[in-house]
Formats: sequence, structure tokens, C-alpha cells
Amino acid sequence: MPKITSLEELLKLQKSVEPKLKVRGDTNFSHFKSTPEICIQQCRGMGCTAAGGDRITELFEGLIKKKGLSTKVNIVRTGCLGPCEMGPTVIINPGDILYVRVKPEDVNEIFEKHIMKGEIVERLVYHDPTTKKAIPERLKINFLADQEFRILHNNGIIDPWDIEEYIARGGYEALGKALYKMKPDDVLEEVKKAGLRGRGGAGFPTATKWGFLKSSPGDVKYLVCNGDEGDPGAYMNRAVLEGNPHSIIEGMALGAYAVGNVKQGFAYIRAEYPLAIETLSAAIAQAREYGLLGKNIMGTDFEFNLDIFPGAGAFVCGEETALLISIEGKRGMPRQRPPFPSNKGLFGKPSAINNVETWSIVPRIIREGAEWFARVGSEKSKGTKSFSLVGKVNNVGLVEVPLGTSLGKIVFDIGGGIPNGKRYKATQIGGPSGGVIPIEHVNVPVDYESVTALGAIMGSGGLVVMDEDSCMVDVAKFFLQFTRDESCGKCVPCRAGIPKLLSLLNKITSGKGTLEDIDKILELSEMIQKSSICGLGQTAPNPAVSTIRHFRDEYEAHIIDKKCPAALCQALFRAPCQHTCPVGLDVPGYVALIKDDKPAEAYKLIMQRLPLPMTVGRVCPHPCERKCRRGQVEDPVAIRHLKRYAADYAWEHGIAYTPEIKAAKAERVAIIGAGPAGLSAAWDLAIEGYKVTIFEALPVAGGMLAVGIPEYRLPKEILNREIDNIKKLGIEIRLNTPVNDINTLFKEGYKAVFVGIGAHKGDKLGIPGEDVEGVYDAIEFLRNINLGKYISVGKKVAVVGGGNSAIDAARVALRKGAEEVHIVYRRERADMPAEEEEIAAAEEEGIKIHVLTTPVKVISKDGKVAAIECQKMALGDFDRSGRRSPKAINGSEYTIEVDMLIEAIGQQPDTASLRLGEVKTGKGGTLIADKRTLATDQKGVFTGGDAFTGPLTVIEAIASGQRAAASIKRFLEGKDLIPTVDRKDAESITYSNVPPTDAETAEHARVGIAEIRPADRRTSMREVALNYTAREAKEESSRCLRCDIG
Amino acid sequence: MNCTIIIDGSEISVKTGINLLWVALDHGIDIPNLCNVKDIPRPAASCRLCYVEIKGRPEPVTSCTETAHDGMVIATDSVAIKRLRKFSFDLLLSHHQVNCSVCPVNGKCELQRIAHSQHFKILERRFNRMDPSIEEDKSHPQFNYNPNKCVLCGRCVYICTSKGSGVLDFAYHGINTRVSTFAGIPLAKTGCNTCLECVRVCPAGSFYLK
Repeated sequence: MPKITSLEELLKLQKSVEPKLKVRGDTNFSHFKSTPEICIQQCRGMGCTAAGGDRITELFEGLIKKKGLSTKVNIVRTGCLGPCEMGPTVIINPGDILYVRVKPEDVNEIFEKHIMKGEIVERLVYHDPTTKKAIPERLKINFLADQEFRILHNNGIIDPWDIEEYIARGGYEALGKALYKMKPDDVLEEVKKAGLRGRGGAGFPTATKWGFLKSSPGDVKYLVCNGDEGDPGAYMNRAVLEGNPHSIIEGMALGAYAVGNVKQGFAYIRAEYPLAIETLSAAIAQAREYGLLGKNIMGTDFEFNLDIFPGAGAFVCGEETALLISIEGKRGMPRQRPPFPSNKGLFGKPSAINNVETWSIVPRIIREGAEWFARVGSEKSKGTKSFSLVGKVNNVGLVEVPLGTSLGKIVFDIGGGIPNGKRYKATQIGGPSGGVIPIEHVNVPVDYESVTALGAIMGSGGLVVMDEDSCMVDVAKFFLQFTRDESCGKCVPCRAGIPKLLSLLNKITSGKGTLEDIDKILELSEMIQKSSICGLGQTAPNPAVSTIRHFRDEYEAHIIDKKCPAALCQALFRAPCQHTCPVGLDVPGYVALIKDDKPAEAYKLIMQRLPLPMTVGRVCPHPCERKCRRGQVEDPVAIRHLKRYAADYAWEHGIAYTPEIKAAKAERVAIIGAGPAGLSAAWDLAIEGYKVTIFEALPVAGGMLAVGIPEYRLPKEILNREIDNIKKLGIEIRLNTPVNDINTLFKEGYKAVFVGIGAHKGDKLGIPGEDVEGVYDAIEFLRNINLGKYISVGKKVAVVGGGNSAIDAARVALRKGAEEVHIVYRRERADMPAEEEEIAAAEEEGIKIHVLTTPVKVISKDGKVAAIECQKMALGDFDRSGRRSPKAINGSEYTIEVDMLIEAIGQQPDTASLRLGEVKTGKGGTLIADKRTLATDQKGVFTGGDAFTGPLTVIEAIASGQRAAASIKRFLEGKDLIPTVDRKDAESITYSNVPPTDAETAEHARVGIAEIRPADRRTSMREVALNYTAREAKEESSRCLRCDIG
Repeated sequence: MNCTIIIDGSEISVKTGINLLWVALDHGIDIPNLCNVKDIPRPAASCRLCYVEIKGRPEPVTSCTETAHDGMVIATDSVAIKRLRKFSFDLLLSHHQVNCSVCPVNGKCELQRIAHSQHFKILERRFNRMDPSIEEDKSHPQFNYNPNKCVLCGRCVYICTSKGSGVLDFAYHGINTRVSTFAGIPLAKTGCNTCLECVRVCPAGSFYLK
């Protein structure tokens, strides 16, 4: 190839190669049958190659040759496409059909059907995870549809090893345009007008940096490309280097032209990117051959040379001064700035360093103009930015979006949300120098200013998504371990300060931390940030500072409660299930006893910490199972069912557990409310020898367990049996006895009062017309049914809400004679707070769920509800819970005819008729108390359960009852209250400590629990879920991995 | 060309562009420092002790990396300066082998001198100790090298490269960073020309005569 010596020659070449690429941009599948040419584009990015992409190419090549189709079918290996987790990926054009996770055995089928017959192999295309629909067209996949390809526009299209393909896509046109039609200052001005900011992380305006270099005296200047990408989880630059190398060469040549006196550039690329180095080397050689690099570029007298300097892999060499020193052949240690590289840089000469991505977008700015560039982005951050989206997210891969795109859009729309139904927690942005952005800020526009305001940094674009199983202290530790190991060791604060920080974090995660350690971390961090020489040290404490800023409660949980909410910090617990259980039940213990055919022993072990095992074994939302280690590979162990099995076994065999009661104490304790919190507080206090009286306003004991949860989930016989057992300790329960004033209890001689009144007042929707006959709140509805009061249940019932009460009310209405039951919920099904198994059961029973719908008006006839007017909702921005908040769609109103409306939208404590003395109430009418001691503002008054937390779960209520009992005991003994509960088991029950066998640890589906048939449920309040048989219980308990051993 | 600067209230006439730390030291103003070597082209600025305040700058800066220009107003002592200097000093001490009574440079040690002038305590132990416990290199007939005392000021590396035989450089990363010969071979087996410059510049008794 003779050198290109003019712009015309370049454009001529461009025209001549263009047809070759035409088919690759043809997204119309209907052209396929008549096409004279087919192109198979196979990604050769890291993800696809690691998944076996090379073999796929070989197989396609073999088939093309075998079928004699080399003239018609082309295969090209392109740069990274983005959806790395779906590799190896193959695009077939015309049609832009994307095949994902292609295995060698699939190649034949794709070839025979798609290439030969023009039939899409649906099995192998992308399937939407929620709708399960096949989406063959690449750009219709959510992950790719919402992106804006500017930096990565050649990835997936061109062969990065062929300069002509780059030229055909407009490559080197910008350089030609600049050399022939623009003055150097015009180029600089265009970049300035575009508002391009450095993509390496700090976001310094690129044109300003070039301007400094230009005005710096000297006739030898250097340009450097920083390709030392080294943050954990980041590979954006790699994708450009491997997929579009000429854009970097052209960008640097344009920079050299704009600045002047630059004849030499260096591309510093880490040696761990061998393909990037090879690709860029080949590109440099080709550019030289075509006269686009070297002397007399494109026939002008402009000269620019580019060489690659492979970095040895030190993260600190991404820092500009260290990088320059490294190119000089010395140990890569940063130096103090000033002087800045624009004055004294490489070999002491003025230099400018820009990131790979910054260089690569310059040609497009010059070719398509500053306005084109600035058309997307936010006010101060223009253009697009590529991110590597990794971690706990469904679609892992490379993402390019306009700056200012909301984080939620990246994580949930493009990233497809969090896998396995887990809850989103935070995103770490900016790698080890960055910080976390918690769920509350999920709407933050991702641009330089907004991210910095939240204590993170943009960085080069690593986004690590974290879910509820990520511990924030552990995250800080992870990144600090990285910076500790990558510190060059030159300056004291970084070298010795980071290990000190890390040791404080380790102290906290091992349960030995103190609250002062948090302050120590912050002080140490401040000093390291202030006094380190370079960016590495100055930003290294960021992960610690930002996790403390946004997740201080998690640090405090580790320090005060010795709890790791994510159940990750192993030093704090025996097994994650036990650690997660609010009452700390010895799950591995009772599961092991069941496995060893000792269910009575298992029951005793449970009873030592939980006086309501039959009840909890039925209605607990089992947070333990969410953290079960087996749950990481398949369904978790059915811990709740096993607990029920042991407890029911004891009942059926007449085995009772009565704890030993300590010597009687003089003080009497009053408990208001016989719900789970009050009952468990009474149980613990009675064991301590206190005389306990429970005052209950309702005619039955059990609180919400008795009047909220329907019979078919929790037979009242079971509950009463357990309450009777509690009463055996000498606890008196006065039914139908409301308390009007807590102070009268003190006057009557009670020395301490526990207020456990629950949350029995249902919230109202507050929509017009709701004050008519036939409108109930769910709490009232369920209470009346449970108390056997007559309620005329309508034929067509609508229930508003998505929580457990809504589902309960709907299923009860169905059993009480309703013909049609509709649940109206304003968000999506996946957002419903009710237990998934409850929702599924309701659907099974024929209940219709209307999602994204909200009632706006109750229409009545003759003073009775006749219909509800509903409005459809559309999902808007994300709210603080990380869910998209629904917004009404105007004009979408429609009516559902109903003769009964049940509102199940929330509930709060009913304190109207209870004088609380000095106790204060707060948000949602809940009582205010210390989170850990549960002491209220009035001496001797404690609270817990739903009255304190608002509606939560039975197990949380029991845990707080126990916590309050521990505080009451200390209070009555005249001791200071402490934030921790000291739990000592009454008698030690031993169980096997034999680890599971290989056969037991092998994958084994969860043993399901039998249920009565849906058809039988409509007419009966019989308990739906049946118990395990002894064999089933043994089988299921054998699935336990025994995390406690070892 | 000369310019006038004000250090701690006194006007000094100095050469424009001259290194601030050297000027101060030459004028008898005590600014603690360990890594400073006169006439080094690129000051290491690694000991983070020589902080001063320059009027107009939001935070204290290292004086070894600043150059004098007309009208500069400098303060060499303040609460903020002291806090930064003490932080660096205490951190340095956390991984310096402290056994002054048997140390060959006891009394001549620059750490002791700085502690004295700045009212810092050598034995304060503000931070947990991290003893490197690396074996001493006693192979050389004239001097020993004890890495456990090294404060990584880099003076020896600079001096060995510029005046000696260039057998010393930094090795390893982070807290494990140390001054080392190539691949850690004993000093006696390197091309050391026994200029003893390393011993002369070492501030903390890491290189010392037998």
C-alpha cells in the first residue's frame, strides 16, 4: 500500500472500502434471504475469549471452507461488544442478530439454520429474564438498547487489525480535516467547545490541559496515553485498545497537531493486556505504512510518532507522575506536583497525559463537531462515558451512556437489576479511589460533580454493584487491601497509614472494634488524604470514609451488636443463619438434631430461646434462609419448616419444655399487650423470677398472631397451646383489660412497664368517597373475622395494597364467600412487600392482581360501595427504597365494580386511648425509645415490637421483647442499661459435630412441603401448609452444610 | 535575580526560584526534614515533615518542593503544620526499630533531633508497631545495613546513584518497601565501591560503620 499523501486519497480509500462494511451495519433481517453477502461478527473481547470464543471462530471458519462459501460468508473478529457475561457472542448480518453464550456444539446448528436457511435459532438468542421472550435483534436487548455508542461505536463492527475498516468508518478523516483545513488553534478550540473532560477520573478539561502544554516554553514536548487501567473490575480502556486502536492514534496525532512541537507520543499500556499491546502495535505499524503516522503525515510536513511502553503492572503507575517516571525507565514512584507535567514532564520536558478514552473520542469531536459531542451529557459533563458494570447485577458488561444518566438506569434498566431476588444496596464507583453510592441516592446523575458531592469519584468508570449480601465494612477492607498492596511505599502517610486503617477495619470486622475506632479511622483518613504525595494515597481512604458516611449504622452493628448485617464477617458468627436470626436461634444445632432423629431435643434447643416455635415455624418470614450458604447455589435449607417439624413433633408426643425458674423476686412487671413481643418479654422475665402481669385489651391473647394472621396460616389452636405453655410460668394474662394510663400501673405497684401494644390501627387511603359502607381496613377486617364477628363479605372484593396484610385479607375474603377478589397494587409485582410464597398462593387460589394500579375514587350507590375508579401508573424515578416510584397516567382511569373494598396500605400503633406519660411518639405513631436498650424517655418504661418499629415481623417482635426483658432486668437490679443482650442457654444440649458427607453436600433439591389443594382452600379456613413427615424432615435437614463446624 | 520573601516575620533576600527548604535551613530556620538532599533535582518529598504555610495557599505545603518568589510569606509553625508533621513522624516511628540505647547513631540520630526540636516523643507509640524484622546485611567489611531502621528517605539511593556505584534502589511495595541491592544480594557481592556516602547521609542508623 502506497502512503496516503492527501485528504482526497484518504477519502477515495474510504469510499472504496465502505461497501465491504455495508453488510455489517445492515440491521434489517428481511434483507438476509436475498443478500449476496453475509457477515459473522465475533467478539474477541476478554469475556468472550475466556468463554471459548476462539474455538467458535475456528468452527465457523471450518464450516465456511467446508461448504465452499468463502466468497459469500465472511467472519470477522471485532472488539468487545459489551455484554461480556453472555459470551461468546456472535452477530450475524444482515439483521444484526445476536447469539449469546454460543458453545462449540451450537455452531453447526447456527450455520445450518441461520446461515444456510435464514432461520433464527431462537434457543440461542438473548431471552429477557422477566418476560422470557426471545430477543434476537441486538439493539432491542435492554442492556444494549439504552446505551449510546460513541466511544465504542466501532466495537462489534470493525476488525481492529484492519486500518482500512477504520478508515471506511470515517477514521483518519478528522486528522485529514485538521491538517488540511484547520489551524492547530481551531482543533484546540473545537475540543474546548465540546467541553471534553478527562476520562481518567478527575475530569480535568482536556483543552485546558492541552492549552497549558501549548503555552509551556520548549520545542520538545510529549503526549502520553494512559492505558494503565488497573482498578479491580474495570476494563473500559481495554475494550477501546483492543477494539478501536486507531482512534487512539488519530486522537493523539490531533492532540500533537493542536499543541505543536510534539513529535513523539507514548502509549503506556499495562503488560497484563497483551492483546491490547499487540493490537495497538499492529495499528501503529499499519498507520505508519499508510503514511498516517511518522514524518509527512498525509503528505503534509506534520510529523508525529507513537511508541508503546508496556507498564509492568503497578497500579500506582496510573498516576501521571509515576507513569512518566516509569517511561523514563525508573521505578514508578510519583513525585510531588507542582511542577506539573505540562511544565516539567517526561524527561523533564513539557508533557500532557490523557486517558485512552479521552484520546479515542477526539477524532469524532473534530470530524463531527463540538456540538455533536455536547448534544448528550449533563450541563458540566458533556458526552458519553464507558463503564464496566460488574458485581451483583444481572447484565455484567461494558456500558456506554451519556454522562448524567441516572445510576438507577444503569443498574436496573441496562444492568437488569439484582440477581436472585436480592435487594440492591449500593454501587461502588471509582474503584479503590472512589466511594459507595447507597440505594437512597440511586437517582444520582452519574457525572463528575454529582458523584463527587456524594463522596465518591467518577474514576475511570468501574461500577461495582452490591446487594444485601455485601458488607460495607468488608468492601472498605477489600479496597484498602488493594491500595495497601499497590502503594509504592514512597511517602509515609500512604505507606504506613493505609495498613493502620486496614488494621482498624479488621478490628471492627472481627468484633473487637469500639466506637472510637470509627473516629480514629476518620482522623487517620483525613491525615492520609491531606499529606500523601499522589492521588493514590490522597484517595485511598475514600472507601472507608464513604462507607462510614453512608453506612455508619453498619459499622455500629459490627461494633455494638457484634453483628454483620450481610452475614459475611466470619469472625462474628458460627453460622450465617443463626447470625441473621433476630433471636439468634441455634439453627445448625436443631437441624442437626432433626437429622439425627432427635426432634424432641431439637424442640428443647429451640425453646431455650423461642417460646413460640410452632407459631414461628409457620409464619416467620425466615430471614435466616436468605443467608443460608446452600442458598448461594440452590434453594436454601427449609429452616422454618424444620422448626415447625420439631415443634409439632413435641406437641404431638406430649413433650413440653418448662424452663427452670430462678428464685422469686419482689418486683412486679406490667406488660401492656399480649402480642409476641409482650409474651416473649413476659417469658424471659418470669424465668428470672419476676411476677409478670399482661394487660390485653382484646378478648384473646396473641396480638396480631391471634387477630391479624388468618386461621389457614396459623390455626388458633396451635397459638393458644403455646400461650398456655407460657402461662405455666405463672404469668397472668388479663384479657379485655385495656390500660388507660401507664402511670396508674406504677401507682398499682408495678416497678417496670413494657408497652407492646402492636400496630393495630389501619391506615386509610384518603380518597374521595371512602367513608361508605363496605369499605374496611385490612386490620379491622381480619380482626373481626378472627374474633368470629359477623362481616358481610361481598361477592366482588377489591383489596388495595401489596403487603402480607393485603394478601391475607384477599385470601380470607375468598374463603368467606367472595366470588372474585382483586388485589390492586401501585407498583410492579416484584415490588410487593408480601412474601413471595404468599403471593403465589393467592394467585393459585384465583386472586387477580392488578399491578401499577391505584384507586382514586370510591363510587357508591345507596350509601354502599359499588365500584372503585382506578388509575394506571407508570414507573418514574427510583425512590429511597431503590424501587421506581409510580406516577399516575392521566386519562388512564377505569372502574372495577366491587361491593367490598379492603384497604391494606399500612398500619400504626393505636395510642389514642393510652396515656403514655413521658413516653414520646414519632413517625407513624410509633413509640420512641433507644434502639438497643428499648428504654423510653420515662424511667422504667420500655417498649418493643410493632409499637416501636411499626409493622414488622413476628420474629423481630419476639427479639425486641427479649431485648426489653434484658433491659428491664438490669433496670430492676439497679444496673446501667447496656446495648447488648447477654443470652445464656439454660441447659447445654449437645449435638453432632460431624461435617456433612460429600453425598450430603452435593446438589439436592429442597424437600417441598405438602399443601391442601387450592380448590379445597376456597371454602375452608383449614391450615394450607402441611407438616414434613419424619423421612422428609431427615432428608431436608441433611441438606444443611453445617457452616458452624470448622 | 533576587527577591524578598518573609519567613516567620523576617524579610530575607534570596535568589528567585531557589528551593524554599534550603533557603530556610541556610538562614538557620529549623524545618524538620529527613529526605532532603541539597541540590537533588527532584526532591523526594517523601518524609512529609517539612511542612510550611504559604500565604494564599489553603493547606500547608512541603517546603522542599516549593521555590522562592518575590513577596512570598511563609510561616514555619502553626497548629495545622504541627499536626501534619507529628502525623508523619509518629507513622515513621511505627515501623522504625526503636532501640536507641544500643543504636550506633544514638545521639546523632536525626529522628532524635527532630523529636527534640519539635517536642515529639520517640516512645509515644501512637500507632501500632509494625516491625519489619528483616535480617541485617553485615556482609560488607566496612559498614552494615539494618533495614529495620530505614525510614525510606531515599538519600542513600540518590547518593549511591549519583556519587557511588549505583547498587541501591527501592524494592517491593507498600509497607514492605525497602532499600535493597539488586535481588537482595549481599552488599559485599555488589559492585559497591565503598565510598561510604550512604553511611554519611543516612539519618536514622540504617547504614552504619562497623
